[in-house]
Amino acid sequence: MTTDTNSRLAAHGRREFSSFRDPSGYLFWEHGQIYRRVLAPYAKQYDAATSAGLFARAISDGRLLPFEELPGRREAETTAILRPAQLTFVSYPYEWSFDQLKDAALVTLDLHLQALEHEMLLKDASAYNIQFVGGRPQLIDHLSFDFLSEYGAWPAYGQFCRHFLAPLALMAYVDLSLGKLSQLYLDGVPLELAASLLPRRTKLRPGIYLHLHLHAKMQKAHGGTRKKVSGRKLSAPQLKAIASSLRSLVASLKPRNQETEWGSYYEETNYTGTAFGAKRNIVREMMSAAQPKTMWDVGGNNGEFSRAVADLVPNIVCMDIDPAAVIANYNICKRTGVANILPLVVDLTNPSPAIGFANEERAALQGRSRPDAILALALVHHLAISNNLPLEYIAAHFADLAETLVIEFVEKSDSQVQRLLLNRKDIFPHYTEAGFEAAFGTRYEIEQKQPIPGAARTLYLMRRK
Amino acid sequence: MKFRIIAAGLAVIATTNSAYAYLDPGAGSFALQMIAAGLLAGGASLKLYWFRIKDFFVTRRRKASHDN
Repeated sequence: MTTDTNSRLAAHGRREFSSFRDPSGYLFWEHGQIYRRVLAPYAKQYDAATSAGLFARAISDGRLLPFEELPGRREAETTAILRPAQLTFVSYPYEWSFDQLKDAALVTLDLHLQALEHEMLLKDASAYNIQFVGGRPQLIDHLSFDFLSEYGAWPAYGQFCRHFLAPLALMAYVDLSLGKLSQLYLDGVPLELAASLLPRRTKLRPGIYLHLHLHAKMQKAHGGTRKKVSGRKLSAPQLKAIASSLRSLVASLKPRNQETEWGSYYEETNYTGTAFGAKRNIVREMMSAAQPKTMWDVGGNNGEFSRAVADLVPNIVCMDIDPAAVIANYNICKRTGVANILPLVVDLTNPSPAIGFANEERAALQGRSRPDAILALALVHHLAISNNLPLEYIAAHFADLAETLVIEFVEKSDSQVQRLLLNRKDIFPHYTEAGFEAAFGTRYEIEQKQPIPGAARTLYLMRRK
Repeated sequence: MKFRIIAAGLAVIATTNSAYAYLDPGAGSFALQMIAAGLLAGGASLKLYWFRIKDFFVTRRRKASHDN
């Protein structure tokens, strides 16, 4: 690629809205591909990280998103144009389970520690700079390395604690659902808030006391100061000591062991092992016929059925409302080497909205991408009966998202539906197989219909009209 | 120097009860790292001394049992 091509790319590409914070460069879109323009102020850092082998090592360790530098001469403003590996789906920290956020935190610290070996550091520790690629967390911001000599301390320390440590500690000691606090606070959970929510006994843990409780107090104490905080410059070994202390603290945190609604769903299902096996086979048959490249498994629990079709569908996002089920899914995939499933904590009745400045920094769930297919097993009765959603709304929403739908209809006689109706009036006269087919028939052609032997359930393969 | 940093940290813990919102969390994070570096280095030194003391006694005991 020539210099002219570089200029044209940088000049005509559409700048990614959320890429405005760092003067070192920015992301832009061109023909549906994303590129990163490295600006002249970052030239020295970019060259130093390259010659120290930081990029190459981090990529080979699987901690940094691979990229290629497009050939072309350097210009006054543009140092380089990078083409990073393209992401199939962008997820956000408030959609990750505890273990995903923990692994993302560890990768961030490992990269920082690696940079310190070369008298550099990670100048940002934003959780939004991490994405899950092939099942593992990777840093996607190639402009995060900077010279240690430019700073007196780790400039990203506060950000790391807000983006990673505070939500992890809250999920470990208070409630797993508090990972969603990051959605409310775009630049991470304020430490003062985290400290006030954590139980008192956490003050007895030296790491949590130092990095959260005392940190919050120090922020409060220095918040009103009008003079520049000056001090000596911390050396690389001192910064390593801080990062290592954070690393061992994060590594020691465990998700709170709490009973969740869906945590043991598959142990409590009402159908037999034979019916379960039959359901699995039918789902596989339907996915083989549909051949989607991307699939969202909505209400996918611990990913049992996502994994059942993982060899048939290249990219799967498996969403569930239950953080414990998503932790289980992530760990099973990690342990068994399933790399094409991204487990996420998503409430389908209230999915992630667009947030940030002008509601454009972090896109709404369905604004990010649309899958080829949706897999919705044992879900419709929850949407229709627990949430009173008309079947027509559900059909319209799925049809808006994807062309192909594999969906399970659970009859009213099923004990799971009976459980939902146990303490409420049955105001759902249209919740019947005929009513379901009529509602979905307005949006879809039913291509296949297969009852699950031994269960009051039916599977459908549908194509959008 | 380390004592002064730790003392400054303790003074902050004891005196920061006012509830005004912070303006710049960066300043506090910077200051805390100065304390953390001191504490962690102090902790590392203590650990080192502890291992030396432990080694001293373990070696002596081993030597004694060997002599016996």
